[in-house]
Amino acid sequence: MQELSINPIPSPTWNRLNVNSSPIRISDTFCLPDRAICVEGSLLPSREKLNTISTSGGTSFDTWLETISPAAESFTVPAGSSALLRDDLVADASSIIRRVDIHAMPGSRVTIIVRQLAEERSDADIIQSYRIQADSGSEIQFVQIADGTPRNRIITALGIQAEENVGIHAIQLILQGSDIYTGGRIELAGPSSRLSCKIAYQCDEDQLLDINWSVPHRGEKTESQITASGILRGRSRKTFRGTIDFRRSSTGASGNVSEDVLLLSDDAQNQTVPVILCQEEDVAGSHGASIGRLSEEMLYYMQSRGLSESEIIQILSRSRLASVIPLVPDEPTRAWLTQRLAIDA
Amino acid sequence: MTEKTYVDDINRSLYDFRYDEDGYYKVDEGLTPEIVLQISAEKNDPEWMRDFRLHSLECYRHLQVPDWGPDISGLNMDEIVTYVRPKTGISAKWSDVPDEIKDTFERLGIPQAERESLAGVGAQYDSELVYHNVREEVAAQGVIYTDLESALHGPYADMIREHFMHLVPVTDHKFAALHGAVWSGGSFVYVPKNVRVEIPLQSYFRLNAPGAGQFEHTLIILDEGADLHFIEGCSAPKYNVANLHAGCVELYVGRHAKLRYSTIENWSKNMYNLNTKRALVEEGGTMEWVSGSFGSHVSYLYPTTILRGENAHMTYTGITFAGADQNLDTGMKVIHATKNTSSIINAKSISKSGGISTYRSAVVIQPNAAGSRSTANCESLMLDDRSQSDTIPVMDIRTSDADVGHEAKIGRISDEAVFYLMSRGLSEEEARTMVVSGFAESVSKELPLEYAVEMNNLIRLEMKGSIG
Repeated sequence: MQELSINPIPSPTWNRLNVNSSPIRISDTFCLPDRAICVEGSLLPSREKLNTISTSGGTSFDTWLETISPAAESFTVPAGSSALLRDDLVADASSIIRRVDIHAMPGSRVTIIVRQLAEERSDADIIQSYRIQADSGSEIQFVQIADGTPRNRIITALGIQAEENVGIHAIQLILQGSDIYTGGRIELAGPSSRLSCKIAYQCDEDQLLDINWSVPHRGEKTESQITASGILRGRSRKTFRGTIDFRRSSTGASGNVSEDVLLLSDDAQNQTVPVILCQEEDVAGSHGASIGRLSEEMLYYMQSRGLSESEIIQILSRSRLASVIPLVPDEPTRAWLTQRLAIDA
Repeated sequence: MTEKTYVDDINRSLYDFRYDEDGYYKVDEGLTPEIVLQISAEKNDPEWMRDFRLHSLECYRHLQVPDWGPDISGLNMDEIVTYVRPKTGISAKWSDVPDEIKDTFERLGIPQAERESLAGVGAQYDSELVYHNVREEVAAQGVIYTDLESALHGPYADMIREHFMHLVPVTDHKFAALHGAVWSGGSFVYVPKNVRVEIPLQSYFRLNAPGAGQFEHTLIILDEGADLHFIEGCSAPKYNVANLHAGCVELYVGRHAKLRYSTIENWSKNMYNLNTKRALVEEGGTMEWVSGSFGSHVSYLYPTTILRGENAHMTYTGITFAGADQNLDTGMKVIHATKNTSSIINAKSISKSGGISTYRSAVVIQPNAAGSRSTANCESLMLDDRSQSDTIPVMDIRTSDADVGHEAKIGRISDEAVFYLMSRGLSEEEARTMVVSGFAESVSKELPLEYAVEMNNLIRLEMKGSIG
């Protein structure tokens, strides 16, 4: 077993708040997944390693990953072409690990759909890392759906280096798992690159959710928008770190992080850390957070329509997740998600 | 492309004057048990305080320097003189204060302020209070405002022992431990039950000696239903060696009492300001912090409030202005420890000429604090592209029955606003100064008039020469 810290914020604060990073204990024994990545469109195997790209997991996690699983699956999306990757990771008895490096050449478009699933009795770990070099004019769509058992630990580390005029759309849907660590480190290095990110989650029982997004803006007129929305029930614990980092030379950049958390249990714990770091004058940065319970007006209105409190909570929880489904850029995945949420309801 | 406007450095001649310290008593540089015992003997400490100092020194040795804030590697404790006593005792008349010290405080406007608008004044010069006075009518209400050392030997000795460094334990952090070991000077205030002090009390701290530290301790206890406004001011001349301020403020706000604590901090830019302030608020009590941070080379300053009683309330209104050679890490913490507590936070920061300003905060709502509410608004202004402004808030919420909102934004002075004001006949410098003063207005309007004027003067000084 190894002890690591994961999901560090770029600029730490008081240690006693326990938000600077999260400690994990992790086994050194992993298998490669049974299922191969399913590819549509133009995607070529490659030997290129993207070791210079850092992920949201942080330096110590990236280094550990490199040691434990030296061989990443590497791909290239040729210039001007499109590709779709469906990456289903299904945990059973053994913990699995997958590292993927993708180089999206200029003007290419790549969609990545990651589903992290588990067999019914599985309590294994799923570890996944995506590093993406996005050349100028490329479009990256990244969707993560975490839906394990209440005993699976799911760790996802994402790092994207975006050159000029790159569009990045990320969606993270957190449905189930015991301990889920996720996030993204998106370096908007080239001018006019853009990130939009939507995160929706529901946490229940003893679930732990640990999210770490950071966006260094280096290029002029870069834009980022991160929106997180979720519900905490039971004894669940959630930490959301969202950092907008305006570096010198990011003239004309703008960034926003916001989170809306609905607390439905007195035993749930919420930590929200929206950070802005700024070394540039001509930027516009903002963040906002709203944390609380269901408003009494809303509760009264819905009860007056004949709904019980548990039905109201179910509807609200589902609607937060369902609102993200239309944004998923893949019809079969949308259909699967709609069915999955219907089962939950 | 927009033309960049650079802002000149501040002219601090108003504060940057000094006097020789011939004949002053000083301990050696550094921090040893012998020095701590020497200070204890000088202060005529009771035995428990001497032991407390030695215990604090032990804690200091074991605690680590913070690994999350501004760099303080330029602060070498082996070179700091922790105790400097002016060649005078404490006086209740300005006429008895030695000329050079009296002149210092007169140039800072303290005696005039006392005459015009204060209920009492304490003036500390280096490590000791040199003047302490309270108006007769205020004293007649039973208000105690005295130096802490005298109080340690008087009728309030037990009360001080009961409260001294209980709110800020010496194990809290390295510089709280340092304070516990070498503290000197500061004030004790007790306001009896239901007594309302109509006009403010003020303490002013002046550090004159190069390479020295100032470690004053302020202990304020408001009994049930009491009401007080306490003002703290500080300044120092600039030297080429590091100076250190590691004061400690402990505020106990009783049931339904109300305390406003206002600070205009204007230390010189060789100062490491590692100050600790903490308030404990009982049922129905109100704590109001008003804080303006303009000086220091490095600041770590986060007034902390523990809302322990039901319906206790806190407001924090603060502004930080970081210029050249300044790294000011300021903000606040509030712990909602019981039901129906509330907090309102309004923080502003301005960075220019390579200055670094960080707003750091923590809003903690504990599991038993159902019905608690907190709103925070944080705005940062960047005046050039050489500076830095960071915002690092944490919200830690552990009950469902809470309502927490936080908003923050960062940006620069709008070209449209400057253009508009210039079209009305103002110079660019005047226009930018007006915009910055407007940005700071929500803080300045919370200060007594003369301090609001001082703050606006500081802003004007900072903005002087801002034509690009």
